Amino acid sequence: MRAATYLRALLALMCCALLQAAPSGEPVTVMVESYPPFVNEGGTAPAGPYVQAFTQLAAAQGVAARMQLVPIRRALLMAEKSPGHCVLALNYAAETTEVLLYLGRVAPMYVWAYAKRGWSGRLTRVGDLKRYRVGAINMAELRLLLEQEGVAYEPLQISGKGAQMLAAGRFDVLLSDIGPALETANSVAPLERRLVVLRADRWLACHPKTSPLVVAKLRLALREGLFAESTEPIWSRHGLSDYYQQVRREWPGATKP
Amino acid sequence: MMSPRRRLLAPLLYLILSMLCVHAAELPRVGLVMKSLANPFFVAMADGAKVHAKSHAGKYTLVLTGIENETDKAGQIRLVEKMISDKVSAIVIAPADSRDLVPVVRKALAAGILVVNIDNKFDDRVLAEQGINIPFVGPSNRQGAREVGAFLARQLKPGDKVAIIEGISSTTNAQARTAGFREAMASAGADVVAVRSGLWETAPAQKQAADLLKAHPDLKALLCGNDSMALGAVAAVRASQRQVAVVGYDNIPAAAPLLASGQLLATADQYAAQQAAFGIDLVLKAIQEKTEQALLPAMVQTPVKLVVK
Repeated sequence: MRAATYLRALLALMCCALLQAAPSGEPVTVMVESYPPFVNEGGTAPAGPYVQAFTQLAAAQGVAARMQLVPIRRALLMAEKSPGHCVLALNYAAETTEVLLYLGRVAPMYVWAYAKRGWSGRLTRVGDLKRYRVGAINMAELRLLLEQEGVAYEPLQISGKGAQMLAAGRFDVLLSDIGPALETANSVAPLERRLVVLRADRWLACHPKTSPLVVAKLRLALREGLFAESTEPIWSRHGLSDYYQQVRREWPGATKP
Repeated sequence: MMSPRRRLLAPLLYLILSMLCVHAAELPRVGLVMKSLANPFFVAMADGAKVHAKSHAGKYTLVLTGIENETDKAGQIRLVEKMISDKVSAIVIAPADSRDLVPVVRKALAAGILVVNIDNKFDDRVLAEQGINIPFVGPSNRQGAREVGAFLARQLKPGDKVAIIEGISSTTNAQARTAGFREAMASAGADVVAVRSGLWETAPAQKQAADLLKAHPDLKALLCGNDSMALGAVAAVRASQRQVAVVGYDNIPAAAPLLASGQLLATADQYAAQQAAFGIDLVLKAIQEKTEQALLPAMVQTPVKLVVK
């Protein structure tokens, strides 16, 4: 019994050593949508802290990542059909887990309830939304939450248009994660955050037939999401040091050993 | 002449070698942990596993077990704990819940037991949180449901009202089937007016269907996440004396007469009898090739087929 235990421990050690050292030899194609300031359009290839942190973390595990800027719907279709293809910073959707493998959390995301500044409505919990006209970004976890709470809502076809629609009075409350788009819209109609509706994560998801060795290496690479200590200089270069520190402090995904 | 030291070492060496030989000669024991053995789908799955074990006699021993009803998570956790204390070589599990069974399964991994997931996929988020790899062997529920929904859609007009009776809402396969039904209904322009949970079982589904029929006098169809619930929906439709189409999922034996009479329009066959066998094949291969749990393929997709009259 002891011999078998030692043998298992030895095999596990050998496996870990192999995962740490050997390059996988199989580059992966990682698609990501523009999401300023985390993912920016950099000519033909994407840029920004998400992209640079991921490339660095994957390379440290011996995985070469070819980064591509692709709209999310197309990226999803490609990742579902092509082995070795992944999507970075994807929202989790249970219904896609049979066609995509969600490997690891990369970053946190918050969905807020926004209203026009000075709006007199009262929001202290998600159930309060039932009393108002609600517009919401198209996100499976949010959809599930709203359905469970019995909140009727108008799903947004284009997430970036939500703030303008709220400003135009199409609904009373906008449920959205989008910071930059709202900041732009604020110049037209000032909005304010009223309630955190959902705390969720952004994920790396890959085609289910991606090599098990690559999968294991990417899982190791993302133990702390895109916020490992080694990525601090990247966040700093982009002027996002405070955000990096805050995520390190508050996000459970970044506090894994 | 043997030295005293050798005289002491020889029996010790013999003992160690004989222990290793006995260990090597033991057949791997594969535990199959099922969901409700009252559900004909899982009975078919269990029967398939028994056939597999018989045809692989001398290669492994099957330890088969299951729970009383679909919602008995605590019962299933106890079954896995028993498998751990019995030191099985591998566990193939159809979890009653996508999240709540993960901790006990992690205990099994820590005990050196290989684990493979069938039927209802574990929640990737929890697996990532726990830092573990558990392969899923099974069909695309979403694809199967989309095909069943697309068949129903041929009978519908744009704007027709339909409702979905799904399984336990927190389970991955319930959500995947609902998503497949929704996609098919969206393509047809049908209006999904409600989604209710029938908990995978006939009686709760019958009650939900009766409520839906009452609340929506112009309802045209009920899409059910499995055939057990479709049986309940058919009973409710019959009691209401209305013409409402019903579709199901799983192709259980009890669905056959309903399909023949047209009371059930369509269902999907996931080859229940073979599903557990696919999972067992994966663990046997892993045992034979000494593949570590972390390096098992994350997903192995199995077939699903539309079944109509």
